[in-house]
Amino acid sequence: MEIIFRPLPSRHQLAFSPALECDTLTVTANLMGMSPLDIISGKFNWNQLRVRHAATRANRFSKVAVLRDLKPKLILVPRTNGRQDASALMDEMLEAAEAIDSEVINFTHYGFVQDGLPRIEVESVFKKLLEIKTNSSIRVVIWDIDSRYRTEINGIYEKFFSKTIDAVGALK
Amino acid sequence: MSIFDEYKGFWGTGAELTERAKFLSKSMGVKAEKVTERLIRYYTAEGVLDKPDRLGRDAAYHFRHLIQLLTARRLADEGVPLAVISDFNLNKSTEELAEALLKPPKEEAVAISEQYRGKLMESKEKEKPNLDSDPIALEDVLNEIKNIRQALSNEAVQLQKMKYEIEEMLKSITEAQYEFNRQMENEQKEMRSIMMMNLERLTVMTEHNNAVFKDQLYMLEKQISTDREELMMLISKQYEQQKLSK
Repeated sequence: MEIIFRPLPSRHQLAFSPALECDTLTVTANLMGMSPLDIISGKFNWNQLRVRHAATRANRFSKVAVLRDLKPKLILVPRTNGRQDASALMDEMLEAAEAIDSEVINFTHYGFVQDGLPRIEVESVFKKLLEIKTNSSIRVVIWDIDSRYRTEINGIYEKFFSKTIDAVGALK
Repeated sequence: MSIFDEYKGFWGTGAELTERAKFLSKSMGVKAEKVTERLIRYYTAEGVLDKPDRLGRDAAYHFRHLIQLLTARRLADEGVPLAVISDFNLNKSTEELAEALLKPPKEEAVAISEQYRGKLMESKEKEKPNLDSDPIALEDVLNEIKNIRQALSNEAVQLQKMKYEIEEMLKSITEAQYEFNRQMENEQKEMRSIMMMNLERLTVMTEHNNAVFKDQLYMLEKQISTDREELMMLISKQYEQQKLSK
């Protein structure tokens, strides 16, 4: 599996556009206006009400919701407080992605970070990505990162993968 | 404004889908009590409904599933086989399915049955069910029986038609034979009359001939008798002369 980082300029949420190469989008179930979910569902002209219902349920039950008939497929991950380990959610998300045969995932959760980078959460995500087996259907993860936190993410990535994002070759 | 408009944003669990389907089924002419979560799972496994979305590890359904479920129930009530329903449900868009649901159930079921009859026959020939290994749901058996009954009644109608056609043919053949016999009789009569005429002519000719030749025959006979008398006279004369000469 390959991880490609996509640094996004901060405070430009309106200009946000998902990666064109992906077949699956994982988005935080954030129902606020101008959130990535709101912008993406508007961009692809999805049924807003349906997406909102799915996001509400994902948050209410703290479960990952999958809308498989959309193009690209949509995985809604419930909101977190950023102070806890997200291993369980990552497991659920990766399992859901494999269940719908996702190959290229656009991981949009850390593209617009407010109130500081949730370090514990990001570390748990990297840990889970390391565990992905070679026979998994997931080939590529396109990880959107807030360009303001590039250095911090670089440090965490180095800790787990023993190399920096720049060495991997992030999209610029 | 359709009755489905307020459900277009629906996204929820099997229980929620059941609840909405039951509510809508009352206005759709579908038996609401048959719609259960178990049936939804069965339909999903059989491919009658699209693969569901997920909420964690649970299945989640949306508007398209709701429409597919109502369509499936309605067609199943009309005796349309599951294979046909599955094909119809998966290949039609949500809008087309919703539109079809607004039509009267009988009309829609008949149209679909007609459309898929050929396909169904092919698939039935291909897929012979293995009764030993596959447990068959009671619903499927009932559908199958309904289907067979329909096929048999169709065949009966066809046979009735054939019988009627054969009877018609027989009638026309009998008529033709009667006509032929009548013509033959007429011809025989004509022939008989011609023969009678000829016979009469022959009789007349024979009588005429007899009348003509009767006199001549009499004359000839008379001549012969006179000749004989003369000859006798001559013979007697000669005899006397011989006697005298002796």
